[in-house]
Amino acid sequence: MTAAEGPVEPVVEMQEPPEEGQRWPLVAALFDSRVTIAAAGFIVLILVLAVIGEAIAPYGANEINVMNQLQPPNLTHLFGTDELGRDVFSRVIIAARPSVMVSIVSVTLALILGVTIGLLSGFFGGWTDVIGMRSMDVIFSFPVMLLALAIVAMLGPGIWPAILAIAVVYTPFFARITRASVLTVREETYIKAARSIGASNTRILRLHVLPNIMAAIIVQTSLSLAFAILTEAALSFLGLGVQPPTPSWGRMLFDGRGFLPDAWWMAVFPGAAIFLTVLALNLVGDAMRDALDPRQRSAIEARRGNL
Amino acid sequence: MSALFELVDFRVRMGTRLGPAEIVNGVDWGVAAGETLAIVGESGSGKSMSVLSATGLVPSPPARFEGEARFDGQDLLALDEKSRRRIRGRHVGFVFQEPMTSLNPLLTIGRQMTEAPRQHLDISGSDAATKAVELLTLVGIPEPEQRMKAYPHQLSGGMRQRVMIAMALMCDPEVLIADEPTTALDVTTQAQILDLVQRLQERFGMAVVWITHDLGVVADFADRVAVMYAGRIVEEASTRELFASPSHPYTRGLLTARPRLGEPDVELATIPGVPPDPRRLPAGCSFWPRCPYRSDARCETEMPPLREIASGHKARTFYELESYRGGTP
Amino acid sequence: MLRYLLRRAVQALVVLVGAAVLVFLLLQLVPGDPVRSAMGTRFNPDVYEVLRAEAGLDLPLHEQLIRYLSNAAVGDFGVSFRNGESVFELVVARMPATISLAVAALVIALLISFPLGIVSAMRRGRAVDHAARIGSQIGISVPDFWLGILLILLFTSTLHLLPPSGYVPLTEDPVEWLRHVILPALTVGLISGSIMTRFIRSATLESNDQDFARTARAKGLQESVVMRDHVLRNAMVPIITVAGIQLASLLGGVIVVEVLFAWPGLGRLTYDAVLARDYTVVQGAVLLVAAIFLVANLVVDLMYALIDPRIRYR
Repeated sequence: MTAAEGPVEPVVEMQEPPEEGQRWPLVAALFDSRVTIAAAGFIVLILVLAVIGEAIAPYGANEINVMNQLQPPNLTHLFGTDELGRDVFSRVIIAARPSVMVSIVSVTLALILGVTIGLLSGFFGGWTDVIGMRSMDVIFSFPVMLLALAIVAMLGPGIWPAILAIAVVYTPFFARITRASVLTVREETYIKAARSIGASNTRILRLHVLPNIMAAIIVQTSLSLAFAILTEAALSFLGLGVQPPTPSWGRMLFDGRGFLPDAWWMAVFPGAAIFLTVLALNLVGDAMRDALDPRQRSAIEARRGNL
Repeated sequence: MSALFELVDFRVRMGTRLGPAEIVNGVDWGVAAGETLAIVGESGSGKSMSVLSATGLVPSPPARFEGEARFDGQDLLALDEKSRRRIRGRHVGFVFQEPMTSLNPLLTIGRQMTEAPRQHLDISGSDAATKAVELLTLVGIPEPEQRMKAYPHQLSGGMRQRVMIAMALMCDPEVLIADEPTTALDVTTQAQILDLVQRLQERFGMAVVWITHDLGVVADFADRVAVMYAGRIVEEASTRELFASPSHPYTRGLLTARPRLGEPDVELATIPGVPPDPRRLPAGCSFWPRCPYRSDARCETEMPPLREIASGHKARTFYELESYRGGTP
Repeated sequence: MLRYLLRRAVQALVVLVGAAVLVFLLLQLVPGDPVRSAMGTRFNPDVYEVLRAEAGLDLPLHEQLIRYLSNAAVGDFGVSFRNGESVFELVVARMPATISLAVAALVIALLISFPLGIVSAMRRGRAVDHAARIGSQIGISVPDFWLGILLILLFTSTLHLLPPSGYVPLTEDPVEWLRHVILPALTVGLISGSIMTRFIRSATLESNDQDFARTARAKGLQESVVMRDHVLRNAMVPIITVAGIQLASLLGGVIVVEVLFAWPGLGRLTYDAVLARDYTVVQGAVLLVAAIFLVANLVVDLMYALIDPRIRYR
């Protein structure tokens, strides 16, 4: 069949977008590799322990039984006992809650504060930007642990000073990432379009800017959670974090240090718990970063340095 | 004229997470000394990939190649890496699209211009430098001796592209490959660069392969044009032939999509749709989903062969232009 | 270039002043009387009065701030409320230990991370890359105090090779210094090295993806030349930044490791002062560390300018 010279109306089926741009790249990233699935599973386990740990632990956290002190790992006490005869396994399980709680609360605080500062700085620029970013620089000019230590020093040891200290120290990470994202997004055409039809600043922030910076914030959150656990554990190891009688992994290392090398189980197992939790969070955070924004270099990682 | 640089049934495949992608699907073209071949296509048509792969600039896993890429009769793909590298450096010059980023920001112009000839031509540093200054003058860079000591960021985009051209010529290559060299430049500079390369070709007699998405750019300059779509050549002809009698619907679409002076109120025609995903090429003619003609029942199921519809003019389509019906002259 | 450095120096100074103000304000957060708390059981009313007067604690807040800042500017950080020593001298006395640990740790970190990071990038996806990535992922997740304990358990308790703690100055006895510094330096260096490995790998990969690397290969240069003059040279710019930050972190007192290994550095000084409620010492140490941090960043900027002509000729 031959056609006339002029073109016929073409029927064009638009190509579907390729499968790579899935609806939820985050979730897809999580199920990408077996390692990441295992890591995510471990995180879930820790969360579960944080909630019901106390109920399912074989012994109490402070069930003192001096007759049983300093037993190496055996069938009745999987991780051995400490100097007061307390079951280390149970304490490790129960200590999940304070660690998780400190980490979540402090990072949430840092997120709220940091994202707000970053949004305002990036969006409004000018003096808001200068003040916001210079104060972030000031906090940033201290090594993580040192500032946390100083804050706890002033407020005294305890769970809330630790939370506050960690929140303050991690705020700049969120602020900087948010601001950087806002700066890139701000120049996009759809923002100018929204403005031109009279959308208010709050509306623009809420509807257009926020969704686009979510990716960076989510990645930063998972990484911060990991390092917050490390920081809290470090503070507890120095005796300045969670205080007894509440058990905490870091504190258990503080106590266990005096009984090295003989009662090595007192320090090794709680430390392993910290390590595995942080590792799991980092793996998940990495997977999300690879999925969402592979170029996001982690400032937080570079400064994790030495707590 | 025998071809100095040619591709014979060249294919490039890449494995992706979602399946294998055929990026270049059996491409044949050649360019002889003193001749300019323009390869025209949209992004994703495989035009750059075919040339870059042929010269060994695409890492081989993950990509896989089939067919031959011949320089002066020798198949580059059959060589080991070292020999291929030598031929590439010594006999082929490259000019890339982004002059801003194609030069190393940390080294001086002079250093970047002389490193290749010092290796391939085995000449001394000062001889290389002298030659560099000569070429810089030739491409129209003022005060070339000073420029040798400058860093790329101190030059404008147009100047940097001239430097790239001069750099490509340092080893007296027989083939010059230009991959969208003027796309990132403004129109005036574009014209200057085109003019420059033309003059250089006349002077040195190289074969030039000019890759572009813009047909207008090659109208004055190229001897032959090959139009690529979805990894295949869909039309090939001398420039004049192509513009006079474009035979493939895609070529016609490209030509009519350009605004023309003197027709201010004509709505710009576009080719609706997007090129196909190389992982999921349609059966039959790749252009069929977007084709405004669809004149033949075979289009949907059969890939049209690249057939000669006039002397020196090939097209891969079942659609027949009125003037050609009735067979070849 | 001079202008660039000057600008950065001024910025750093502003931040430093801000840090000093922050540190000063922190002291105000202390509930109760800082002098009394610091003196603790050794409370002596006469000394108490003298210390309070010297510290000017009865002056109005803004006057105290000005006093503090102007004193700090000339290096007077007050005295320890515990033993009356000059804070500045206390801090300076700890520097050699901190510096020697920081340098040792950095050397270890660089020795690990450079080869591993670069090879990992060049052999991407192969066995060595996977091993490096797993290793460095572990390295950044491990708590330093736990790693230190594990190392002590291994090298001291099991192998009886190295002492578990203590310090011998390098100038006094290099061999003993080495024996004492290895474990803490390893602890810090392995972790630092993991961070650097990841970073060097990604910086190299990114640099390799750049157009100028393609141009260099197109010119037919040998791969080793391409890597050396083009890819790695450009990758050095971000790498040096991270190395500088690492060093600054290390100098800032690796508190936890110093406490674990009883290393008499700045970090341990701060910790002991925190426990003893010796607030002026805490203030002084923290401020000094912030200053070191800022200076380290400035040095990094200087090196940036030396390497990258885009900054030099602005």
